[in-house]
Amino acid sequence: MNDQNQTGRSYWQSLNELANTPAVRAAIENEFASYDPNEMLKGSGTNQSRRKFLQLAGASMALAGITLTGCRRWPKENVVEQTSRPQGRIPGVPEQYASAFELGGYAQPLLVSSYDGRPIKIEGNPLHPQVATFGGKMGASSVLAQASLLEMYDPERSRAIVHRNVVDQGQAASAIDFTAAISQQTKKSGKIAILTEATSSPTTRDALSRFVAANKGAKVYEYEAISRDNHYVADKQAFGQPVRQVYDLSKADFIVSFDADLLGTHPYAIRHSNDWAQKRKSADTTKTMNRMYVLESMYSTTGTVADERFPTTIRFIEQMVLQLAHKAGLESAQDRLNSDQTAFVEKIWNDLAKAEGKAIVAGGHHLRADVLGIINAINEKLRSFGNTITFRSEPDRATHIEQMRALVDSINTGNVDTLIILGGNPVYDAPTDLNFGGALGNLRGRGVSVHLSVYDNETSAACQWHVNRAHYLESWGDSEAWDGTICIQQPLIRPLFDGFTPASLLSAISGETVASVLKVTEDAARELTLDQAVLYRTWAGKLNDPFVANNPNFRKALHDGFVGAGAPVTVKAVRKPTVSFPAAGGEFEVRFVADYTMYDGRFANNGWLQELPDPVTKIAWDNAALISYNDAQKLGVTQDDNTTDLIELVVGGKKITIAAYIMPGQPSGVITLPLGYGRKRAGAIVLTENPGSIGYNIGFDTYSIRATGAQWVAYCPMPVKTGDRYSIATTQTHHIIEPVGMAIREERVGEESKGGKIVHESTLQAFVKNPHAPHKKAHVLKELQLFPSPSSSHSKNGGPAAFSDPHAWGMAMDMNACIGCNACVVACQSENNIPIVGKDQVIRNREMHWLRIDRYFKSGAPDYAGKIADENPQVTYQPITCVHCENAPCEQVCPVAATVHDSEGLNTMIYNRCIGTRYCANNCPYKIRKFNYLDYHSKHPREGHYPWLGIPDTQQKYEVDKVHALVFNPDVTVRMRGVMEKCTYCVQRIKHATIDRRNEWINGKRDKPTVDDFDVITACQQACPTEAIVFGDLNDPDSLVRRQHEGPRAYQVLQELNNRPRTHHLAKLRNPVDEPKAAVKEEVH
Amino acid sequence: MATIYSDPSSVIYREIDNAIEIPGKRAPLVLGGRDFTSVTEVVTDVNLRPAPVGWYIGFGVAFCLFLVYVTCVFLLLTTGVGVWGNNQPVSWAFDIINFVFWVGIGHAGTLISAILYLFRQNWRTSINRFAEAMTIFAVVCAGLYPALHVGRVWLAYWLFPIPNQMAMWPQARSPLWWDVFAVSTYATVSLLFWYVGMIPDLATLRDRSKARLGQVAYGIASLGWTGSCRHWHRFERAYLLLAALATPLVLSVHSVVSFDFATSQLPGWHTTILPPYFVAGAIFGGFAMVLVLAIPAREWFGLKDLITMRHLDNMAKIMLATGMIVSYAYCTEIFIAWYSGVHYEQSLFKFRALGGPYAWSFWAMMFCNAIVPQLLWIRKLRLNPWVLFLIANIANIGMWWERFVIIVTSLNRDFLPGSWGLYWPTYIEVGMFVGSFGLFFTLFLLFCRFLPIVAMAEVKSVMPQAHVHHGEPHKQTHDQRRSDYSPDEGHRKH
Repeated sequence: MNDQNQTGRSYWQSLNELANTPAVRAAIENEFASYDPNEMLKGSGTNQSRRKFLQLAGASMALAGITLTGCRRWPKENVVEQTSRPQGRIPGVPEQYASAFELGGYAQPLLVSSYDGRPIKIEGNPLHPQVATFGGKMGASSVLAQASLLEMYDPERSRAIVHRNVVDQGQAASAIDFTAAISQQTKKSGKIAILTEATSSPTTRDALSRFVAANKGAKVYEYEAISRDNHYVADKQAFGQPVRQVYDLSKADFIVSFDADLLGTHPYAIRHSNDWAQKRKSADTTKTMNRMYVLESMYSTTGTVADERFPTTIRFIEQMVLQLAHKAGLESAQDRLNSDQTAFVEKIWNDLAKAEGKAIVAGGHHLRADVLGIINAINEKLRSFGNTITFRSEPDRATHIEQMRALVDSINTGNVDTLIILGGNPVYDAPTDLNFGGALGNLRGRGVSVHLSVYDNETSAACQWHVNRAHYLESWGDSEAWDGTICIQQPLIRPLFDGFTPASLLSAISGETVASVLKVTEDAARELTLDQAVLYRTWAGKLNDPFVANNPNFRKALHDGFVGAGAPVTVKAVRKPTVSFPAAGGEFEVRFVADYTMYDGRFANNGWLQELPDPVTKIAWDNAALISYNDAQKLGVTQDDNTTDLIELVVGGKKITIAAYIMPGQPSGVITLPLGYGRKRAGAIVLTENPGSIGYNIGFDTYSIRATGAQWVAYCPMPVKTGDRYSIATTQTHHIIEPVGMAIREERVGEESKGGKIVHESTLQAFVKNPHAPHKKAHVLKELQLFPSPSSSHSKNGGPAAFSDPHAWGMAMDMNACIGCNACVVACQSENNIPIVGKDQVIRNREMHWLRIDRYFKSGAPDYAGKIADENPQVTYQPITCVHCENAPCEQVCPVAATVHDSEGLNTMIYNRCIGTRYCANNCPYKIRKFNYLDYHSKHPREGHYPWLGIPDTQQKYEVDKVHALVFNPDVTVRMRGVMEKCTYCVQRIKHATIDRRNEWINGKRDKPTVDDFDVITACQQACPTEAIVFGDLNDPDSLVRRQHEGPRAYQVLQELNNRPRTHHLAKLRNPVDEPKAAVKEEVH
Repeated sequence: MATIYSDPSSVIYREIDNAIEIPGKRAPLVLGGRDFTSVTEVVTDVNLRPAPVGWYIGFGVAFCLFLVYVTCVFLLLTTGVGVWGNNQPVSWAFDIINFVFWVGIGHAGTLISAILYLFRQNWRTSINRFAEAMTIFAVVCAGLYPALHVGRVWLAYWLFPIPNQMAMWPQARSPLWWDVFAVSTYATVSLLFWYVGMIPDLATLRDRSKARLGQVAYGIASLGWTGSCRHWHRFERAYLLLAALATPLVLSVHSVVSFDFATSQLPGWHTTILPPYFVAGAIFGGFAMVLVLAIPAREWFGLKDLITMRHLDNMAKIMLATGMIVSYAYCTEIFIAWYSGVHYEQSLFKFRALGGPYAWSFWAMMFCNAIVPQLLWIRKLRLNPWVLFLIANIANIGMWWERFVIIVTSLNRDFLPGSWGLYWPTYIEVGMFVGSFGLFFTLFLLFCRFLPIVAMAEVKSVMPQAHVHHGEPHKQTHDQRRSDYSPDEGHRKH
């Protein structure tokens, strides 16, 4: 406006303005003369400035206060419709695809549900014989497989290729730059080494052999930290060819486990568990059960359900193997055993001697190969081979330790200049004495190292190149299951952050493209991805059909998720090794063990698994050195509800400081160290180098003392207490509580209950004599009522149909089959959008799991001192979730009617009505209602919760990480803070099924409007490998759940409160050799 | 009573100990030779003279604590109930402990005003005003807790039966909903009762106030009171009716609060003794709080002639009586747990008393509420304000521990041992508890400064001068015995 050169007409309001004096120009510039926003910034000193500041601050505060809660921000939603509907796709209806998850070289067959293109739930493949339950009606899945879903949506997963020319200085690189650089390197290098994690994938093996063929001098090494090499060596030695043994527990009346975790960490655990459980449930029909002997050096899940358990050190276990061989006439007697030990072996042999062809003797993978060879000889003597044990062939290879040693040697001697690491995390988990990280450092100066991994982890940081690996749910692959079937891994989504599979990486480095791999035109190639092309090439070879995508056999394999296994391998006679025992290397045995939730450490950044309590110790978010009470007394270790002592262990010259945890059932002289914790780089968003990820520095890195010679068993002198305390989170009160609490718990749980008996259990012998034996001394409700109950128990009384119209939902939980594996807990968490809360919140007892498995120890010792020192207490698992009381105490006390009953007996929880008085939780006798004390979904579990400011009533959509939010099941509300929540019997699944069945009935396709068994499958039921959970309609007299409710073992937990729970528990039966007492006469009162 | 008749000859100037019982004689309730004018002066001076430095110091401290409260509430509202230590199984902790604690304290005021009024306990007149104020402020502190403790505070209004488009009403079977009515009714009636009783005194302040603001404010508050016979008549009627209304509330409010626990099925809560036990406990704690407030107030505000040792003595006796009722209830609970044969109840009391993780809190409660008050049997201790102050404080602490014992020890270990868990508070809930005293004392000190802390009109009505008939100054009246009260002579006789 003051431009002198402006053209055109000008207007003015006053002559001063026209004159355009500096004063006028200043006045014009200062348009709002009375308000100067810069005033407050202009130094201090003037009164006016301070006053104005206070005025503005006050006004802002007042306005903020008025509008703080007044404005509710509703989420902004963009609805983008598909222009044309894909064939067969109904919006909002989930689709299921068969796929597979490879862990430790063995496939776990899966059925994955996809919702609008997002995989949201992982279940077992019901068609696959390894995991099928209820006769193929559903498929069970392991904890790790189910939780791997969260990994897929982990915001801290690697998202890009990173080039680290200088250590700790990463730069993102494109796939083209990367493949160009590495292709060049591999072409000129004659010294290529490939280190892969254990894999049985035909495609990966095919790609590896093609790569080796194309690159002269390339060598392939394989390493897995949790390796079954001792079995491999023993079986190869015994049978003359590399094989693995496949146990058929359904044929085994007697199972002897020498420290083998058959039902827990074994790759074939789901089949084992299901077969084992079938032989337990037969108590109801044939009045027989199998008997499992477990000799073990720690409390494993297998040991917790043993009929006869013997805890002792590994050295003694190995000698007891030989003593058993002696009984079988294979070895000489072991004179170092004490009378208890020989008596126990005697007991085993008494059973085995008459069970030819109906027994299995199994050894743990940490036992020495020669001892495992003796077990093979015993099995042969018992005619197990061919009857209860069959064989599958394994590839011929050196042991993982030997391969790793060879690789490190050749790197250090300069025989490797290009190292390609496919998966795994050897810098973290390779034997500490080999110093793999150091070898990578040596390589850095003169060669190139590449690491393919889902996370930018310790090994990635030590390599020049980190390549982000496509998650198995977003890429093609295949692998062999333990039973010999080949499973196809089928993606459900395009990769969120691109990435390679091992096979596609090798292919890309070799300069291959989809077109060159499949020998098709570029146009045809556009439809496919490289990992898919590589898979097709391999399967084209296997099926001898170049157009494999249309091959009916391949399409069937894709649909079913697997191709069947051929006939088992037949083996030659056993060659029995000779065994000698060297002297012990120290006072204490140290036993390394794969963690139930972290496995070898690869799941460290998985919040579901971190928060999942260990099945036996119930520790969450940590590992600890498990020691016996008696050893703790020696070391002076004490623990209270949340803290424990730190101890210092020296193994092979390496020192580790670790929390000690007093574990009932742990034999004295053994310290158990779970692997997989103490990760220094578990997950980080690439390039931000943010170490504060979920898995960062959780627990203690026990790999740091695990050397080549002592992969599973080491020796150490007496550990020393450091004097520092460590806070540890457990989901159940520690075993050691004061005498009063212990006595009261004993009265409720133990056999000699004085009242309020919660756990009903008995022995098979007593049960056969008297089916009411498990309920002796339990209170039975006398149906004395002032008024008739609104819910006369379902229609059998002919009463009103309250809560039973048209269905009466009910559940049965079989404590006789429960092995405490936690599969149901993760399934529930995944299905129902249950948040993780973090360690500090678990310490505050605020974990959100809707389903918990209470674990009770039971000791026969007469007094307190004897009980806590007992090294062989029995364990009972009691899964508890909302039992849907017909007479629900929670409903009566809710002031806003947020929890009410529906017509089919569901105790429903209306989240958007709940204001969070928490009275319902107080009045719930099972204490299974969970409260959102904080906004857990929108919170990173590693960040402190106090103070934590946020506007109330914010919408989850704005707060939860965008990537993480993809994991939510859209059928289930995502709860905000201040809301109570609990098990709904998976009401979303109930509604899906009942609406469908009813529509079919209306359309004349069905003769009744109600559902049948297995139309509704709850998430926990589906995941359970032992069929311990049954859900269904109690109105249907033939339904499985109804029959179980009416069976002799069924009872209602806390029946005396007249809550009328719809979930009944089924009493536990044990099958010990010696019946302690004559069957007690019926004492139900 | 509107006209002040003062006869100097009827005034006893001697310092006497009015706590001595002389059969057939009535002890005077106002000492120091006060006449109507001097009673008015000593009370109104507190309001109309400049406040002493001590008041500013006290108010400053209280207000700072109140700010602590505000800060903690801010953190609570913005972050969630998780800033407290509450967990599963202990879903209620400091929030409901403090709610019950403050409601309990809020009991004594209305009891003194209403029940003692109906029973013609004239000694109540000196203490009823600030006991009522204490009640109202305690109910304010109490009422905030249930509102703030819910998970979604912004929806707490759903507890009220407000017609809404959701066609949803509160759930009438829930004791929490009964609580809403019990506490809000109690607060309303107590406030009305307090205010109505204050009207003549507010008029006095209006008349004596020299500041314009005071004249206007007190003028509006006194609702045009002129002291006419008609006014007095209406006033007395209204007061009597409100007293009759408030009396059942004294019993109902804490009974209903106890239903929160008694109607649940949790061992330790599910007992029929809770309503009378809670009421007795509330009176015990309420009187303790009145003593805690009265003893310093009579000292600092020069009210020793109005709040005499006899008043303190009476309150101590009530504390002794209600304390013993409470102790009896403790024993009955334990006996019934044993007698019922219910295993869960029995084990609960084993945890509480013998070896549970919070057994110390049970013994703290027993010491404070059952043992220490027994000292009040001793007259000498009853008449020592220092000892009384100490015992009253211990009783208050004991009553807090009682609520802790009832709530936390019942919840932390109930039926299934698998769900047992411990509870410990965070700084924020401790801060909120301490801060709630800030809120209480802020309000109380404002009350002391600006409102008549002794019911002047009522005190005057129990002075001998009020019963001297017109024109017959020396005639024997039915109340003559009061002026015959001569403890010194009584002593001499022995």
